[in-house]
Amino acid sequence: MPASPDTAHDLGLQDLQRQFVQEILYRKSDGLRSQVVANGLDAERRLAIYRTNTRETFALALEAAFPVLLACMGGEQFRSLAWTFQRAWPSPAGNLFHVGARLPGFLADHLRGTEEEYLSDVARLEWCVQEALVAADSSSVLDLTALAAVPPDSQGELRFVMHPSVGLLRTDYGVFALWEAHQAGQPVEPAPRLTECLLVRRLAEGVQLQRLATLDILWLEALQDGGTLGESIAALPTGEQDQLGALLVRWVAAGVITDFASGGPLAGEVTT
Amino acid sequence: MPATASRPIPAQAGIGLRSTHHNEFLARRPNLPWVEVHSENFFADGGRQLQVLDAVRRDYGVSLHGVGLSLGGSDPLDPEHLRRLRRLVQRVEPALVSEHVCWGSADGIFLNDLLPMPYTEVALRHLAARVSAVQEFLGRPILVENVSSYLEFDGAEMTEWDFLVQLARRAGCGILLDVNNIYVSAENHGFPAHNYLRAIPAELVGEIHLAGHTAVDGILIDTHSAPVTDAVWALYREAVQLLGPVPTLIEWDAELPTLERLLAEATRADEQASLAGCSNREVIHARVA
Repeated sequence: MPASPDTAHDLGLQDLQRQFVQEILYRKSDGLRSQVVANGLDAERRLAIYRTNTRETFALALEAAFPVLLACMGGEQFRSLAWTFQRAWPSPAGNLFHVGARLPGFLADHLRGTEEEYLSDVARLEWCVQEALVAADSSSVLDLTALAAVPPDSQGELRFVMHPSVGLLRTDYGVFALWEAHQAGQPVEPAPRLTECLLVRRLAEGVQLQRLATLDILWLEALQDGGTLGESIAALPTGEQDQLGALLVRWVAAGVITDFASGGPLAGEVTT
Repeated sequence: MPATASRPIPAQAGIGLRSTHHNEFLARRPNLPWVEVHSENFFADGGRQLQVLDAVRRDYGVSLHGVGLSLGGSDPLDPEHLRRLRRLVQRVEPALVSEHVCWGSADGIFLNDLLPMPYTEVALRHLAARVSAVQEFLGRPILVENVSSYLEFDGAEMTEWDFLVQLARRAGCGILLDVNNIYVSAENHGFPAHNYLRAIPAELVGEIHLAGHTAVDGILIDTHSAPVTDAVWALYREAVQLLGPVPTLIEWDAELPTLERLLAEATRADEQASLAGCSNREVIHARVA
């Protein structure tokens, strides 16, 4: 709805830009149209070009980040979802990478209890893959000799460092097989209800996914949460704590645990 | 961290290097002096993209071209965006760094588009201050690019080209002159593209962009999805006659062609510059870098 010309002409730069954004995403603006020079094409059509561009850019960014979700939904439904999501959670940054961060949560809210609920797990997995792709590099290899030299009474305070690209995921649907099928260029089918524990990480040849046993994810989650070795042992089920040595050897050998620090919080960790 | 700056950028044609072509580019090592990449695509903390750029910069001049800083926005400049840009500039040591004369967000909501500025003194002052702040933060001058536009705001106090030149003079930055954008905006708003070109002082221009556009319902859209049109080639020849030899980039971002086709388009840009009477062999990036 056009505002009075006087109001429109008084718009400052900030108001103009606020109204532009509101008009593009929500078709809500008071004085913007009368601020646009028609010049052979009305303001609505000119603004519609920017709306189309904005939608397209956002949707393409999501399609690039969530290719499996796109394959599951089909292009038309995905584009519709992208616009609904964009209006609910507009891009928070000039770097398009960030637009997908809230999509898994958005899908979880909107698909809970429906036949498509599995799609939120697909999105969670794909966002984990995206985070692995951009994580810092690390060539650290845990020094086992140095680790063995830590006095027994100090070992409980050790904190282990994981490769920065490592992500841990628990899903309610069997999305691992679905993701693998997509990687192999095979058709994707709705994922069955199936609790899965997954590890996602970046290797030289690309992102790798692997299923984890309950024991492994319990221990790795405790470490990733910043827990000490002692706290990670406490996270293991009673009777399984003697598995610690095997866990440590397994995940050091796999390059998932890359370093350790003795005592105190790790560098960069927030303490209170 | 690389020990030396990326190679200088001569007044010849380069290409926008996109991830689709990364592997083939590194395998073929085409005979090309320089490439441009979108800065934000390399804001990651690590990973394959950065490794590719590290490899490319060893043999090619590199230009970092930003699309998301929202220089003309009324929101504060995003400190995290700036920090990542500076980190990338320090890593790549590019011959050129550029951004757009536009805005992209309000109240923290980003449209991730290159949105038009009102051509007013208030907007000019605002932009000049922000460009100066960015240059100070990066510790180097940048180029600012004119964008294609599909609307103009009422109450303009100057032409787009006066706005651009004033911005460069006040902020002490250079101009990345997008000839396709001039053509698109001239057609969309009915001003003579020649007037625009003739108003741009040669000493301010550090780079030219060329790209394809698409006509939709009587308006031209800067899609970067097609070859450069004959009309834009003609305008480019005129630009080169007026400005002298300038590093020229072929941008192609959607419906990407083969790398071969992209390189052929760059060769054509060099041929067009020669037709216009310029032998583009002089390294001129220093005049604005």
